[in-house]
Amino acid sequence: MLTIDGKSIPLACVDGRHTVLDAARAVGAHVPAFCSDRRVTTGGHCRMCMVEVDGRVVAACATAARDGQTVRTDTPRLKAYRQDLGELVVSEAAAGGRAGAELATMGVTGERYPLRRVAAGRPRDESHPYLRLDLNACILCRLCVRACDELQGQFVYAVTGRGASTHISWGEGAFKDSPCVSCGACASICPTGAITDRDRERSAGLIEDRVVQTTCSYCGVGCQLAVHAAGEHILRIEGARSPVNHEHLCVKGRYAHTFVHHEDRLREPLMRKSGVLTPVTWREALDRVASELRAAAPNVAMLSSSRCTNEENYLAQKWFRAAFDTNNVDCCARVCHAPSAAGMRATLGTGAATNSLEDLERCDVLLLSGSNTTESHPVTGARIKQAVLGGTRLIVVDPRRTELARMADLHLRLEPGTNVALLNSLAAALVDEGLLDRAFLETRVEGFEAYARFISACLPEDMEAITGVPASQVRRAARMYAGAARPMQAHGLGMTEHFQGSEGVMLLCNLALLVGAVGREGVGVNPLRGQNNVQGAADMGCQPDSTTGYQRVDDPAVRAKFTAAWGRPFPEREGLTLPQMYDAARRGELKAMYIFGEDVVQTDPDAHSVVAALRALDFLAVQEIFPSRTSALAHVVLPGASFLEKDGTFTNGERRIQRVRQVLDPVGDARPDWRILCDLMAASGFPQPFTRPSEIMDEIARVHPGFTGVSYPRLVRNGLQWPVPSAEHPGTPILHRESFPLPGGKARLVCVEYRRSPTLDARRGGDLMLITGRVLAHYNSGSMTRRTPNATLEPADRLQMHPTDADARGLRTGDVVRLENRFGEATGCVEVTDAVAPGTVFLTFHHPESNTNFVTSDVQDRIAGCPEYKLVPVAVSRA
Amino acid sequence: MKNLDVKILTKHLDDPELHTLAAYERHGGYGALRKALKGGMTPEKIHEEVKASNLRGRGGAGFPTGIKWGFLPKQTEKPVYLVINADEGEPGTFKDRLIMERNPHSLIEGCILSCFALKANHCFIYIRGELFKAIKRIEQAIEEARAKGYVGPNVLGTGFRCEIVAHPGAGAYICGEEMALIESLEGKPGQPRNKPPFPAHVGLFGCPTIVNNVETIAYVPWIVENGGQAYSDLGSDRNGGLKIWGVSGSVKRPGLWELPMGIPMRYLIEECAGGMKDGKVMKGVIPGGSSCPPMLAREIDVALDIESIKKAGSMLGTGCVTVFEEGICTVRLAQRIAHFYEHESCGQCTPCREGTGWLYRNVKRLEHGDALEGGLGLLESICNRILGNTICALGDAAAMPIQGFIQRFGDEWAAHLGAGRCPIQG
Repeated sequence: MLTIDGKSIPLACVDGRHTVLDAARAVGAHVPAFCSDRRVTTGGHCRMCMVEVDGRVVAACATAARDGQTVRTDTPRLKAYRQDLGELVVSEAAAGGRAGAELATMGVTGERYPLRRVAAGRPRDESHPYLRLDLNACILCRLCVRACDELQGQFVYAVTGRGASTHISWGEGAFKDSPCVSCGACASICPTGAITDRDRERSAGLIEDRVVQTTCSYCGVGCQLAVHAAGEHILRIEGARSPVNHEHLCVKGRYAHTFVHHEDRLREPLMRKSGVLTPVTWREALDRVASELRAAAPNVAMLSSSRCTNEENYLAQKWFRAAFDTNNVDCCARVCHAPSAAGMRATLGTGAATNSLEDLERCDVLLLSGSNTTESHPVTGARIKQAVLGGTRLIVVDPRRTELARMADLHLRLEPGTNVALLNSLAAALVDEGLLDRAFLETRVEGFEAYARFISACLPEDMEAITGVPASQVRRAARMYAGAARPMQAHGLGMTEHFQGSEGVMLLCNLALLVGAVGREGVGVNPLRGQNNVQGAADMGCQPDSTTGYQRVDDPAVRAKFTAAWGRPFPEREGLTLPQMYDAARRGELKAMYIFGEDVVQTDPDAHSVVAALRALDFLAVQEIFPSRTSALAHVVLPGASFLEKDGTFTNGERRIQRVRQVLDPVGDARPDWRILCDLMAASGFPQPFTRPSEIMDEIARVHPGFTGVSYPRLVRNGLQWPVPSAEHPGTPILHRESFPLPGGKARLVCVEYRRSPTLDARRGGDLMLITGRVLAHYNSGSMTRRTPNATLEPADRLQMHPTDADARGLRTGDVVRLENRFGEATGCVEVTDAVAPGTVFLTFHHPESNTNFVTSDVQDRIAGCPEYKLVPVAVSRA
Repeated sequence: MKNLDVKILTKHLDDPELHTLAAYERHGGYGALRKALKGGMTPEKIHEEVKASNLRGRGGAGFPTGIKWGFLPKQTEKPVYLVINADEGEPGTFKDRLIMERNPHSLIEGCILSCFALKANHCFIYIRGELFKAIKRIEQAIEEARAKGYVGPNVLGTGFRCEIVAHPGAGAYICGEEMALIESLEGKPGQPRNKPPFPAHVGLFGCPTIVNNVETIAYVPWIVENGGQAYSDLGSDRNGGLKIWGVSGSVKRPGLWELPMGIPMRYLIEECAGGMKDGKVMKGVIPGGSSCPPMLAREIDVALDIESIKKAGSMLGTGCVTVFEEGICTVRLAQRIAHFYEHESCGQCTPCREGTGWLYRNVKRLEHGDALEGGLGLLESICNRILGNTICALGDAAAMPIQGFIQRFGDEWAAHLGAGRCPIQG
């Protein structure tokens, strides 16, 4: 028992993790505290929360709540102390925000200590697109320092000086030149308004009328957002309490939301008339789409959207399969993590992350392959940084020296395109040095004997000529990985977007199996899914070989099940993958296409051939929120809704199904995408009974065995991780605890030989190896982020080039260059950096005018058909 | 009165080579180390002797050393560290400097014995950065001891490992606070941590750590060699042994003397330091460094032990007395002290960061006869805001002398109010 101002707190609350301040708040005692926030460690600096514990005056925020304590928060002495301390606080700073409001309610006047000292800070800094700093309001609570250090790990802020000249600093010069990554944690945590942001400034004076929790629609991390709104205005976005992001967000999730009301938004249906896209009624547009597709069926294809909800993806594939008798359904997983799904299904039986983001805090070694996590999955990247700062060892496999590679214990900097050779050599080292979990191999894995024979020819010493990674480093990495109690893996598109993408993923699984690192806490093989719902789009069945729940279309039982469920015959023939769709279109065999929420012209490789394919179609319909290069080729364009304007669910990269909740009405005449799809299905003679997305999820739960227990009421707080086989099942944070869903229940070791990518055999016209990828400020085609102040942070596509290559061409940072090869031409803005190795260049693809994908190659993953975005020879010259 | 002729650390100070290993050994140095390690003393036995010695921390707080050592966790998988606080920065204090410059091996031997007692293998000596000579002497002493096999992986061939590192500070008074010192030693800005956890549990690099003053540890060899009771008997009740006392200010012979705990302050000032110089009249003293409240000239018939001085309304502190004469304005003196703390506050806690500045500015205004409305009451209220409300004791150290001056020299301070100038010194 603990007593606070005479009120008792039962012992159960006093568990050693809580402070006296927590306990005081739990009984409703009002104790002001300016430097305390649950997101960061204790400061104990402001000394506002002094209370009496058993007669001793202590800081409540820095004192553990314990059984038997008697706490007073409201003695006259404490009240007088706080009041007078408040006077000292306002003598140093013109505090606003929650601290300022608190001081005002305390009756602090600023008259007691009128000798206001001159603020040691700087003039107000407005140099940054989002953050605003005014140290005259700073009370030195240091929450910004702790937030930057402990949430993001960026260490932008420091406390400089001592005594009365103490002030917060961020290095020399303007804030925009600091190493800030604009995560906004400091503005979110600052109690005085000394650090604030554009959103708070813009929404000053508006009265908040609701806070809606929803799921971020940028990358596959699936951060939970708390959207603060007033009428049709977004006031600001905060991170919500969730195991996914623990209230943290990145520059995209927190700030890049103003695209919603951008003037470019598609606000009405458009139809091509006399060659020009012209506004028409919904009825006219819907009927035209339905009749064109019916006329062309079954030579039609659906490219569904990984950016949209599960419910919408489910409808999209149901529509084409049931109404047009075709399995020509695919989604952009094809161009990112289809190899992960294929590779992991072949070895482990399930094509999804085996573990959860929370395992990042439980593992003691992380093997990170082909992922620039701090830019592509920033909140997970920040989590990895914190883990590494806390002692987790990190091995990075990447041709680029990324931020995490610089922090890593080992950076295996391989030649681009040699993943298979490197991973084989790592596995060979494990076998060679006997660093194996023999019990695991014995009971849970098939094929070790044959595998051991095969892999003995792939020793690090044999492979180093191919990979460029010294054998000693590979062996050290193998020992580090195998020596860990909980070795975990995560990988990104650097693994998958290769000629041997799927096979590379199989080799990652091999490594985990060899050391028994599957099926328990803090281990596993975990693809960092690229798009917010790329996991869900595949789960829902947006692929040509399987429908909802990965149930294969070549299985008669599956076809019978869905025929019964949908009331329409289920198409027998396996459909076309996205690249096959383009081929078929160019050959004139595919007549019509429906592209939903994707700008394939900008994002798919070898864009010239994509354009040729789309032009060859008789009919192209595009459902979008912004005009794009793809919509420019369409016959009908239907205006959809952004994630803030509709309800549904997204599934993140750890298989967590999370709610998307409507905050705003769709702009103009735009409609929620699930409603558009229902309308189109009705117009196609296949009417659907759904009046809200939850009803669609109920149908999904009936046909998808892994979703049986999923329903909206169960997703309220933290969602559910599939499989959820029953309504009582709590979800599955960790797969394969007991067995693998493969024949015999055992996982399989796979023997894969390294093959040189064909792109290397056609080095025509290019002496540099191009890798493409993303930067922090932008998301993929940039259609959303370019229409926010993020564009100021990153105004053009960057071409990273090593100083040696830059010198040879007389290039400097900022120069605009032309990239050329047999596929086409692109442009980029040079950044001279040793992040890339000599002979390698890296280009982003966020800006349409750069035409990055005009130079990416036509080589695809041998198994999943994923394009090789990460390797193509180019020539670079001054533009 | 005790036998005033017994000396320990200063016994051979007339040997100009005492700082060398050869001279130290010639006078019996490292005998205690041999006795302990070769003679089969257990770590527990040494700890017992230190407890029995009634040795109390010589850095200012006077905490019993044996009890402090007992705070270490009984079982730990982490390394235990011994940290020597040699960041002697309290104004008016210069005793540790003498030990480090003139008798460094006494400290080194004490460190090795204490490490053995604490089952620590690493000792860090954090030395005030301005004490160039002390740093050099300590570094030399460590090297000599290492060459002789007293320090290193296998002390005296017993398998006991003891590494000692001298670490110069960078000029911040706050780094003499044990938690700030630990932060600084870790390479961070020297800013005190919240307590608990105390360093005995979570100290240097998160490991159990004992932080002791130079003089404290330098007495350990004698205690090991002669027994804790013998040391205790040299001093007074509950204040064991000898101590190095200092006197500075308006006296004939400022300096340092090694004398028993509990000698009268008057003896120290009049007999040792020769009394007031140039016919001046004593106005008061600051007993043990600038953070102690001052005492009046008539109050110096007090025994120099922790309890007696506390009873007399001040603190023993570091045992280095500063004497000031009639004619000195105590407001001006307090202004100098307030300036020091304003300059040295680390800036973490609001009451100290802002309060030390307010104290300084208001005392300065008072000295110029231009006090703010509220006068002495305002000063006392700021002191009350600070006292007991900050992470470390620097805030208290800033507030206590001001309170003490107002208490003892209230009339003089009141005379400054509205005077337009200093009524004492003009």
